[in-house]
Amino acid sequence: MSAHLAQYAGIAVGVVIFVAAAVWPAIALVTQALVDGQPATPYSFPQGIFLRSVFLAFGGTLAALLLAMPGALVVARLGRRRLDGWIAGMLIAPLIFPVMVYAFGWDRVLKVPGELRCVWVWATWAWPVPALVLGWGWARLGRRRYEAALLSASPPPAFLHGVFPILWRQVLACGLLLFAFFLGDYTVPHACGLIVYATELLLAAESSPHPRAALVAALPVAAAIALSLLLALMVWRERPEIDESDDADLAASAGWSRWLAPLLTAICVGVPLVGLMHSVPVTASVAETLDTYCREIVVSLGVAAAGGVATVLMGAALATLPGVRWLALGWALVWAALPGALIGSSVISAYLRIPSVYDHWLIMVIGYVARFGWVGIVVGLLAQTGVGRAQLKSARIDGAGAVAASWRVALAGNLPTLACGALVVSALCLSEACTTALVRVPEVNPIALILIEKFHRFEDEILVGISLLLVLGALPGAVLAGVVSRR
Amino acid sequence: MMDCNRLNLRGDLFVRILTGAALIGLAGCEPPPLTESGVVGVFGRPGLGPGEFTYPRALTIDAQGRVYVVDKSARIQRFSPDGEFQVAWSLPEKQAGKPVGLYAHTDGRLFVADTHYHRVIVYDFDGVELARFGEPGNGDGQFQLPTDVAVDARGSIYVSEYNGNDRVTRWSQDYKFVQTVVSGEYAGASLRRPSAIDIDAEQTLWVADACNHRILHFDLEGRLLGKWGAMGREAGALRYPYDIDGTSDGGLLVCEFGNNRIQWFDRAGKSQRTWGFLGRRLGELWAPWGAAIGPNGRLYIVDSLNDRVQILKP
Repeated sequence: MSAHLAQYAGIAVGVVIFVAAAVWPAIALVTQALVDGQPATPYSFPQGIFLRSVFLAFGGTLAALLLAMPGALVVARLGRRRLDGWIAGMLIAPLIFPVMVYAFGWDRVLKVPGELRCVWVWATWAWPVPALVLGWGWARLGRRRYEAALLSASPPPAFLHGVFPILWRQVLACGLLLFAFFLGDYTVPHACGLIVYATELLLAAESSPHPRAALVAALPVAAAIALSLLLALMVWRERPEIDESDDADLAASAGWSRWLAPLLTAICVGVPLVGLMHSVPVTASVAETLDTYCREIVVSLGVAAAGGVATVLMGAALATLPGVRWLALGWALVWAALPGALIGSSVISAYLRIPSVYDHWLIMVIGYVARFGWVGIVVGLLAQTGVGRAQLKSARIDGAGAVAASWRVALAGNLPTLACGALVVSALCLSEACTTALVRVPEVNPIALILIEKFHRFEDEILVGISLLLVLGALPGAVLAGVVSRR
Repeated sequence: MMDCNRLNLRGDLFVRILTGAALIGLAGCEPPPLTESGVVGVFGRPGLGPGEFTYPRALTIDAQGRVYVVDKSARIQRFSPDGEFQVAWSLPEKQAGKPVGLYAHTDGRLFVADTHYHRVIVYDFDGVELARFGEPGNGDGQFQLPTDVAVDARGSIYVSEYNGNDRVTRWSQDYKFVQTVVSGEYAGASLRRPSAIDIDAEQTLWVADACNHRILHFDLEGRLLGKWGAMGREAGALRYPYDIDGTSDGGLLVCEFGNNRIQWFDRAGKSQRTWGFLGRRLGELWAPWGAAIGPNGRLYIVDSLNDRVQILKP
């Protein structure tokens, strides 16, 4: 009885969180925008900034894809089944570190114009994603053709003529996904001293009490992102059938190259971090940061942890419901594509008239769930498809309902995945700056915003101190991601 | 930020604000405080329209008591002493960043520390540009992120700046560089972001050494007369003092961005009292960036993250 109660209570809480963080804010944003009418200051579309943002996002995408090729080669040579969990973990883990910190670090070692640095930071941060996707595709579809082509050509032409004709869909889908992300990103351009459309959007949302202003301003970028995602989905759905028989005897051919991807990762992560640490006395900086912002750090950690747990609880609950999970995933994908400023505006529209939420840290937790709810749903679905499928079938045969089997077998058997998800989302929340700039309360001074403040005021000591603490905060999630990917 | 919308939600409070603001305007009529903490008025709400703010961060008051506020949209707005909007104008450029310092001189000049363009722009009180001086750099006659301006009784202009060039420089009445007055190490710590300066009636210079969480006191030749403050939250301690203004009794009031409060000191640096704490309601402050005492004796506080200016009867 108590197990039933816990199961239904857990699911109910998850659904309530979904409604509170996704459904209600969306409704409130649209209705408030309709009620408000035209804002006093009409919105003028900054065409030049938009074009520049598109150009930068395109540059970042291209650079990330190029940088991903060595990593993809490693993954391809190792093969999906033989891919060392630690290598996969090492590829994934740096994505959890706050990208802003990379930008600050590269700023100290890469003295180039902001546009180039922005493209470089995006590429060096995001390349593991296409590396894994392309590498797996390469291993399953084009490895033999590539190796045959290598007999008569060097690697680049061998890739172009042997692999690309088969993998172009994966390349295009990855490119579109990255483009969508870069176009909506606020932090890296900001840290590189650039004004992009996401910056303008945040300013529009900050400077107007009317959500309509943010909604109208978000339409071009949201449309571009949605189009990119739609194209990516269409391209992905048309990929050819996979012949996995190709994946049998690959480990022996991996050789030294298995360490190429981790080496690239170490350079991409290590150089900016060393650059950051080299610029000021680290111990003194961290000590001053802790001395000055101890309370803020503790509170930020607490709220971010609450955001991580709530997000994963929501995702796990939705993934348990058979009829709802794919709908939730679809919703999550659309929601993930929306700019952070728009999400912040929607949460404020939803809770502005509810002081018990609006005035307290709870609204920040809701804001975090709204921002990263899609990650929670992906984690929930991963948990459903992870270990325990045999037990799941046994439970169904023994008479358990679909929901009960999902909740008690699949989720219970995948607690490490859920814990990893919660840590990852907490790390993302800790470094989230765009939504947080709108959804904030006096009692919580998020360290991500303090970091931006220090960047603007050239307070290098505290900037380095907070950056290192953010990396430290992301470390448990990164380590656990490695552990889980090994399983 | 949208936080000030809360004011609209609390009808009773909003009426009290309007009533209080209106009463301030009646000659000889002392308005009732809006809060027990002594707030007698408030103006501003989020937005880009007249009388609206988006993250206001500096304020100054002219001899007639009119209040000038600059915000993150790089607009300077002028208000009557009771907070009624009068006129607004924008800085010529704003892409690189927005000003953080204003100073209204008694002769009708408004000095704007155009921080991210490394210059000072001089306007009249209606927004007509009169002059500009300074250029980017670390040398004489150059600025790195100027933060504030003050003028002494002889008409010499003082400008504070930071970002590796943390110092206070003196300029002639016709905007020519004269000398560096304050720079380097004082009492064991180098100047770290002098965010505000003030020259008092006795012609001494006060400097808010923000990142060292302290106040420095100099004569106009740059000789250190005193210093106080250390990082902390208790009375007497400071946390990111962003603005200062002299009080009628020769003391100093300090606007603490980090502690969300105003703190009064006597001339020797002894804390007299504090006012304000973190929050959104009237009488509470959220990241206050600037404060100044008007000729009417009232204290005007830039309540930055609440997008408003609170008027306090000290």
